Amino acid sequence: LKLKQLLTQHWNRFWFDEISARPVSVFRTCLGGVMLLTLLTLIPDLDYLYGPGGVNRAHTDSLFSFLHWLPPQMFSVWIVFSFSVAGALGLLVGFYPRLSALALYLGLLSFLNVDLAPMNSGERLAIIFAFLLIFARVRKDGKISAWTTRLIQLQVVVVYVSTVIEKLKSPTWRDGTAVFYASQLPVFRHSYSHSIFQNSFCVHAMTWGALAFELSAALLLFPPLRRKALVAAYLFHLAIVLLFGIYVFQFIMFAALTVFLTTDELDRVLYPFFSATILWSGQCKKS
Amino acid sequence: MPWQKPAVSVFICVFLSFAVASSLGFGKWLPKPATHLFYSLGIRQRWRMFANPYPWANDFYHVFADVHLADGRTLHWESPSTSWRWFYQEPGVEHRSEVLKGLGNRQSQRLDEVFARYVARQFVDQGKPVSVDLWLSPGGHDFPIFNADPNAPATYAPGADLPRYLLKGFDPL
Repeated sequence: LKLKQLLTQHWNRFWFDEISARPVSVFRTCLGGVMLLTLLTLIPDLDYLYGPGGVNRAHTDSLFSFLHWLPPQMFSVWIVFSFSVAGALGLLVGFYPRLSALALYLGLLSFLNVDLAPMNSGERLAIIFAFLLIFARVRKDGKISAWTTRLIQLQVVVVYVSTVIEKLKSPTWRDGTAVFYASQLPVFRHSYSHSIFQNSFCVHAMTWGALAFELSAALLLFPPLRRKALVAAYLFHLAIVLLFGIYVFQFIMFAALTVFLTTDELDRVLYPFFSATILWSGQCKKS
Repeated sequence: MPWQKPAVSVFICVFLSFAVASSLGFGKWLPKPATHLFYSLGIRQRWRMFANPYPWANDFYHVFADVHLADGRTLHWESPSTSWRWFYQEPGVEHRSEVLKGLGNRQSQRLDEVFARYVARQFVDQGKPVSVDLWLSPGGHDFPIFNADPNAPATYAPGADLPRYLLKGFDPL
């Protein structure tokens, strides 16, 4: 009976404590900004990817999508697209955040469920986060029940752990050469990083280093080594941005890592940048 | 409310179970209605970028096509270049990588013929397309193999034979 009580107590403390909403609000703002940029840069390809004469439609008819309900015209694509943009903008400025999260979620989901192929992993992660943000109900005193924050944190951990497990199945990750093959693709080939990827030591160090980081980050992102692991995580994603030019996924991970920061750390580092949008939402007032 | 904590606890358990199961590839072991629900919700996940074994290690390719017309002419097509976008070049590339998976390992061919038909549609005002050859880069003869000695001559992966798509019953509309 005591064990049951103890477990219940820990469960309730971990998931249902009232905590500051500021980390989630900053995360929401960053996610909105990244997705707004992402969506706007999708405009030139909208017709190619989702238009009625586009490359693909109707592979996933049985799944929810506004595009299945609307007439098969480009006008319908623009309606859903505008809906998504409005959601991202709402998240960015803190305008009815839960409603904005719902709009972004349903908009992105409509595109995903028409053709999942064009969605990159960053957008798929954004869908999951937008889904979780729908439940992030912030009280007037700036507090939030911990469970949405915890789910976002654990979702980040799931990304790290599962990618290590997937990578370890591949011989090139085990023999330390996988980063070389990634670097040889035209979209990732940059003149300034070419010599790094020709160096055997660098290739092995980066390949095994990435595995070691991703595995340890999942374990260390919580106290007591949280702060060092966070610095390592930001540097890791920054390195991917600089060396490979992969943006969306990395920027969303940047944003998601903010939910591991404490309110004090956020106040010191990020608050001046985001105070306007956070205050507009009326969710977080600087104490 | 008394029911709130138990309800949220159930939600947490279900969400995390599916997140872990689908990200590790165990999603198919879940009951079909549950899988369908989670797929509908868009919370399926698999984080294996760069994790696929060589030569499909990277999932990013550029697709080329030759469209053969009924009058004997062959027209060339290349997937649109997106290099002008510094921030976001991935949606089209992601799609083409799905095409490649279908072409390359013959296990997920749900997009390749659709793609061939899409390419053919781009040329209907110039004639009647009868077949499409697709190929991609890198993915075969132009893909270098890692060599620990930087002074040694580069070696390349063997080329891959890609299928020709006959456009039987092709409807340009």
